[in-house]
Amino acid sequence: MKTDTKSILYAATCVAALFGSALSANAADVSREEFEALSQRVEELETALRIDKNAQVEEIATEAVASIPMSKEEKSTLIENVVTTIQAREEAANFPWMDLAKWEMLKKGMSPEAVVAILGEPTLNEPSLHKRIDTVYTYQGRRVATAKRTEGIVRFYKGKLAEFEAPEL
Amino acid sequence: MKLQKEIVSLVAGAAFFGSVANAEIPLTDDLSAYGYIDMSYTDANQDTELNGSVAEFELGFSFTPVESPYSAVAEISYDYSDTGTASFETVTVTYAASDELSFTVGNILSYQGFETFDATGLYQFSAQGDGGFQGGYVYSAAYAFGGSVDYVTDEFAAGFWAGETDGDLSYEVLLAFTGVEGLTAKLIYADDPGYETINPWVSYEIDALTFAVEYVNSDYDDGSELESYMALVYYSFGDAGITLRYSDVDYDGVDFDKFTISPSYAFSDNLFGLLEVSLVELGGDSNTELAAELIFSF
Repeated sequence: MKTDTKSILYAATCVAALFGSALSANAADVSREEFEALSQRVEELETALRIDKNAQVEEIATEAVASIPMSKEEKSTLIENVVTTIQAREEAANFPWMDLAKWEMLKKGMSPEAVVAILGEPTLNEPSLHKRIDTVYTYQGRRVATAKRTEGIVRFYKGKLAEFEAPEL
Repeated sequence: MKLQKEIVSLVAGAAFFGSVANAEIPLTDDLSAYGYIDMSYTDANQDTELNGSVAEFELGFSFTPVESPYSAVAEISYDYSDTGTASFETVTVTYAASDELSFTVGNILSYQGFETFDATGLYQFSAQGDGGFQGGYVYSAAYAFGGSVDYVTDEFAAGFWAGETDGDLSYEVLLAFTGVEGLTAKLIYADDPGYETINPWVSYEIDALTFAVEYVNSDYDDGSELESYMALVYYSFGDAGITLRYSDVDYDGVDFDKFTISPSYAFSDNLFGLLEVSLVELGGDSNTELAAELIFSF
């Protein structure tokens, strides 16, 4: 497992280095196809790292509780709890909006500041072409445990929350 | 204690992985790009002037550092229907002395007009006037280099812009009232060596309805005069909407009337389409103008 992780990290570093040097050396020589191929490769490597990370967290947790005198079932439950807690804390730190209880606190008429106080800063803040919507806050990210991409949207009109779509968590 | 140490190391590891999981390709926290593509198909004279084109492509950059009172905007527009060349629109540097008071220098859009110069702000395709005169816009100014002072609160706004034309002072004054829910009332006065304009307009929104009325009067230095009246109703039902507009423009003694009906639909927050039928009468001659428009913003 550690060897695999090192290999993936090494490959990711090489791709990043090649990508960076290609850009700095002569950006005009990188075609759109090459750029998209590299982007796809980086995405694949990042996905692999995420999967590997979950396995690694579980492995470290297993190692951590191996010496503790308790039954196999108790150890397994403890490890699961530790992993779940760590993932939840990581998600809360990086994506505070990935909590449906926070979305349930949203009400029509709220100001953008009140929404940010609950959900945090949006990933995207864009104008809308809809005649009854001025601004769209988009919250995007991947679940830490599953790497599944999820998205929530809040729309404002004249400085007030008009509608929102909670993410599927 | 050992278990606690291991969990601490796990959390530290999770923090490292967290930075990988969130890796994206940010530009900067302060700089953003935006713009739109406006495509249209128009039939200005009953099948004899059929035109399909990318009417406009606009690209803007906004530099707004969070902790700084200074911000900047630069917009470049390629307008097919105008000169066929790219031109600057808003290019400004702003100093925000407070949440209400700001000072701006650069190429600034005139205060005049209920109808915006950007297609994204219009309720229909065409402007209220004769398309053969200033592209249908009845205002005496658009973008011009100068400086402005603006004071904006939730209830009212006041603005003063000053520039120069041929070495002489050109200025605009804006007073706006927004103290009633749904109501916007503006009065703009412009004085330039080439013209003098007064432009009051009022819009009111109640539920799905928007009403607007506008008056424009310009006296030009060549002795000509423009006077325009416009009334508009927009009804929104979900993502769809419909606009009805009537305008009566008198330019140097020639009367121009226009009645417009324009259904529209917002396919998403970034994609908007509309159709327009305008019945126009210019100096006694009647005509029907058709248009279809698709706007994609980014």
